[in-house]
Formats: sequence, C-alpha cells, structure tokens
Amino acid sequence: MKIFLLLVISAFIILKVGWNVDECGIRSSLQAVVPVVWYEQTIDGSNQNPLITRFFHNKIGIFVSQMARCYFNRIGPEFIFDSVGIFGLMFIFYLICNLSTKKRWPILTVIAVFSLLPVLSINFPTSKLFVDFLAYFYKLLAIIGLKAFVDRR
Amino acid sequence: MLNRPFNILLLIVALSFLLRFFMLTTNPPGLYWDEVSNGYNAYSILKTARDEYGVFLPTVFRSYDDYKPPVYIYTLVPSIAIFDLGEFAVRFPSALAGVLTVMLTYFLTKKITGNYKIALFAAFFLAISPWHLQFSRGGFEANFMQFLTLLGIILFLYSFNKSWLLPLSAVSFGLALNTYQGAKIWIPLVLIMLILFYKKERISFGRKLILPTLILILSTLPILSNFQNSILRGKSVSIFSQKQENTPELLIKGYLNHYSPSFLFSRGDSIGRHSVSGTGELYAFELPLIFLGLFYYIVRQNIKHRSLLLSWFLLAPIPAALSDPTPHALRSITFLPIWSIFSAIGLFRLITSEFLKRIKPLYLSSLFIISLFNLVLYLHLYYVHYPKEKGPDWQDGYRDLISYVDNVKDNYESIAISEVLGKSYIYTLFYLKYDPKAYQQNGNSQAFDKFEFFKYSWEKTKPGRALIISSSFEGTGPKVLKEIYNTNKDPVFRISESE
Repeated sequence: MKIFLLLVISAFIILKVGWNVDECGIRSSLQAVVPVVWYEQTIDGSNQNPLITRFFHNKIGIFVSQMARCYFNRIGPEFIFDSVGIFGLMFIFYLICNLSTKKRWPILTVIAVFSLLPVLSINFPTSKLFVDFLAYFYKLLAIIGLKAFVDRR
Repeated sequence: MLNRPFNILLLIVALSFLLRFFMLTTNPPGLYWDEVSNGYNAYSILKTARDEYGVFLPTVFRSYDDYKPPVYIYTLVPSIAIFDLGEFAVRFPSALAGVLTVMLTYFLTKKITGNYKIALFAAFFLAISPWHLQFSRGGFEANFMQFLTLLGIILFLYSFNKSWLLPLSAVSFGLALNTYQGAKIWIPLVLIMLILFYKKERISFGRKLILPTLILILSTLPILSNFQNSILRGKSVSIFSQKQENTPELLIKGYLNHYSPSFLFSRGDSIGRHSVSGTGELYAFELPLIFLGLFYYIVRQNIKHRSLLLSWFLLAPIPAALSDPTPHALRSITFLPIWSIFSAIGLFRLITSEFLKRIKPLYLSSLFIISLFNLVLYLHLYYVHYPKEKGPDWQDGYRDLISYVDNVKDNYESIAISEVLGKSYIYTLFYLKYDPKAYQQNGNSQAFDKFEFFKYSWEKTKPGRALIISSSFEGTGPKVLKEIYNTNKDPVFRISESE
C-alpha cells in the first residue's frame, strides 16, 4: 500500500506541467536598468539633490533588485506549485524542514544555488532550458521528500 | 519609577506615532472613495443620526451598494466632531489604531515568548513595517479590524489569570467582526484557533464562558439581520462567484502567493493604494530573520503558544485567498504582526547564538547597515515618489476641484461633474460639507441642489449658466476656465462653462 501511494503521488508530481518559462535573468535585468533609472530619477525631479538621487536610484542597486526579483520568482511557492503540484510542494517543504532540523546546511546551500541557475542565464533559449531543469529538480526534491516522509519513524 | 523596557517601548510608540501621523493629510495624496463615503456617512450620522440614505443609525451602511460594516464609520463620528470633516478626521482613527497595534504587539509577543527583548524588537519592526504603515496612514477599516482582533487575542490570553477580561475579549472580537468585510471569515477562524489550542483554559472557565458567548452571538446580529446585503461584497470578489475554470487551483495559488518572496520582499501588491513601488510588503533585511524565527518555531516542539503562532501564520491568507485578485495586501493584513514577531525572534536568535561567534560583530553590523538603507530608501520612496506616482489611485485632485467649485458655485445655475474618475457625488458632498438633511430629503447620487453628475456626456436641461467639469481626457464645454492638477502636476480635471 505504501509503495502504491508512493508511486501514485510520484506520478502526480512528475506529470504536473505548466510552470512559467518567461525569461528573467541577467539579460532582462540589464535591460530594465536604464528605463527604471530614468523613471525613478524623473519622479525624484530636478529639485532633488543629485547625490540623493544617485544614492537611492543607481544602476547597481536596480540591477540587484531586478535579479533578486527573478530569483524570488523561481523559489516562490507559485513556481514550485506549478512545477510539482500541491503534494510535491508539501513534500519539498517537509524535506527542507527535515534537512534544516538535521542541520544539513551544505545540501540546503546546493538547493538554494540550483535555484539560481535560470537567473544567471544570458539569453532566452538557455534560460528556458534552466527553468525546465529547475522544475525537474524540484520534482526530484519532491519525490525525495515523499520518500523521507513515508520512511519516517 | 519607569523601568528600561517600558522606556524603550515608549520610544518605539513615539516613533510609530511620528511615522503614522507625519503629513497624514497630504500623503497618501487625496482621499479614495471609500474614505470619502465613510467620512460623509459619519458626518451625516453626527448631524442627523442617519446615513446618506436617511436610514436611522444603520447597522450596515449601504454606501455604494456594497453595504459596509458599521464600526469604523461610527468611530469616525467623534473624530469628525473634534477635527471637523476632512482628511485628518477620516484617517485619524486608523492611524491611532496603528499606533496602538504597535503597543499591543509588544504585549502579545511578551506573552507568547516570555521575553521582553523579543517583544521590543517585534514592536519596533511593526512600527517601521511598510505593510502596516501603508494601511495605518489611510482610512482602512481592515487596519482597525486587525487592531481589534489583536486586542481580543491579548485580552483572551491574559484572561487565564484575570477572568474578567474574557467578556472584554468577546466585545473586541464582536466589534472586529463588524468592522471589515473580510472579518466574517477571519474572526471565526481566530475563534476556532483559540478554542482548539486552549482547551484546558476553556474548560477551567466553566460558566464564565456564558457571557462572552452571548456577546459574540449578539455581535452577529447586524450581519444576520441584513444577511443578503452583508455578503454582497464578499460575493462580488469571491473566486467562487466568478465562474472561472479551475477554481481549486486558483484557490491554492491565491493562498500560496501570499507567501511569495516576490510579494513580501520585492514587488509588493500591484494595487496602487496598497504598497509603494520599488519595495515589498516587508523589508529585504527581514528575510533571513524571518527564516531564522520561523525555523526556530517549526523545529522546537515544546514552546508555549507555538500552535497559536504557527496556525495564525498558516490561516492568515485564507480571507484573501478566497477572493480576487491575489496577492492582496489589504485582505491579508490578518498576517500582521506575525511577520514582525518572527523577525524579532530571528534577530534575537542571531544576537544570542554561538554561531560564527568570531565574526558576529561583522554580520550584525552588516545587517544594521542594510536595514538602515532599507528603511531610509522606503521613506524616500514613500514621501517623494508615492504621492507623485499614485495620485490616480487616491483620486488626487478632487479636493482642489471642489474647493474651486465652492468659490464660484453662486455664479452658475447648474454644475455638472463627470463621474468617469468615479463617485464625484460623494466628493462634492464631502468637500462642500453639504447639509446631510438636505441631501437625504432632496438628493441622490445623480443630482442634488444645482449639482448633476454624468458619465461620458451631459445635456443641459436647466436654463442659465452652467459649469461643466470633465476629466482631462474627455471633451469640454465651449469655454475652458481652468485645469486642476494632481501632486505630480498631471492634469486631472478640466473646468469649462456654458451660457
């Protein structure tokens, strides 16, 4: 019965499709910098002290915030849900809690770094490939989490 | 003699007061139409004991046919009596509730964690929270509801030693239930949490539960007596009413995206009134702190009030998830102050842990610098950018428009105002402080006195000079007199006249 449930839920996880493959990485973040800087400096207005404007609305800060947004999109629960479904999401969460409790920081670091891959892409075909790769990586984590849950004492 | 934690709490409350009241009348720029409706109905109650439709002391306010719960509007009555009808009076109760919520957060966190330092951190994080500041500085009923909910929970927790607080807790929950539409789902969830997780205490109360139960039942009467109208707003935004495909998936995604790091730390809410562009609902520096705090509470089993905190964290987005759109910062205000509490616990764990002891000064000072930058950036975006960017979301321009109309109205036989930007009639009533009795007897949302309100086109029916006010993108009368601009110097209204 355990094995049957394991197989059924794994099938749900593996067959889940529909994750967002829109490009969001280095290229799109760089493209966003100039218009965002222009927009924010325009709002600041010509009366604003230029030092203050440059301090708050600089290219590095905007680039970093755009990249952070891209990363958050890939580690966010909506993307994970789209990749693995509700059961997969629960078991990924279980796995992460389990690893945190056992202080398996290197493994958690690897998971966090893998999620960076689509964000570090520089063109659309590569980013789509990395996004798909990440989705399947989440599926793998979900199945490992499921197995860990089933085998818990 | 006041002790040190109390002194620090006073400073935090003073900071929260400053952040919530500074430039309250001008930022957010303009009053949005719900604030104006609440304000004018409260003014009408003050003058005539009736709402704009002439209903005597209503338990539900018809407003724009969305049938608003009454409590927040009634709190505006004394505010308007003291400060006169205007932006400050309409926003004062919400801002004050925001300050009191910061204070309550200290007492709640101290009760839950037993640690006054964590409690002070939590109060401080809420005092500076972008999420809480955004809704404390507008006349949002949801903010007032959350204050009452928090008060109810604290009174309940303290009633274990002082049972006379239990009826007061019930009163607080009862008032919260009648403050905001989403409370119809949130308050029952809170009560279920408290009943389930405090079984022992519930049993020990015995007959003392009778009065609070009666109070709670009585508090449902305004809703039950006007049930169809009370649920109208909920039905209009519910995902179940919208006949969409795949509603279960919508519900799950709607729930999950309230935990999205993008919503919380980067993008915020897409609705202009609900967040500042360029920031999330929380500060970026809180991300690692929340992770630490949450991890501590998930992993440790035998912490007092653990179930309450974790279940609050999991149930908070439900009222928002049942509606569209999501994520919705206002409907999920039910989260507050949980995020601040987890941040505080995380910060305390970081400060007191032995982890990487040698470089602790380095990472704590880095955290301090990043948090200072986050806070200063937020204040810059809120006070410099926000009033210019989000004027249209707050109907910025109506005050100047009606002020101009008030000065010239005696020169015209009829004044026609476009409704394209929404609800012009209520702005006219509000800023003119129009006699509620006269409006109840002879007016309606299409016309009162010499004022007429039109959508898209207006036809002159009365003889004599007419003043015509249209939005800047509509057609005008033959002679343009003036344009009204918003804070960003964009044209909003065009005023013309016709003989």
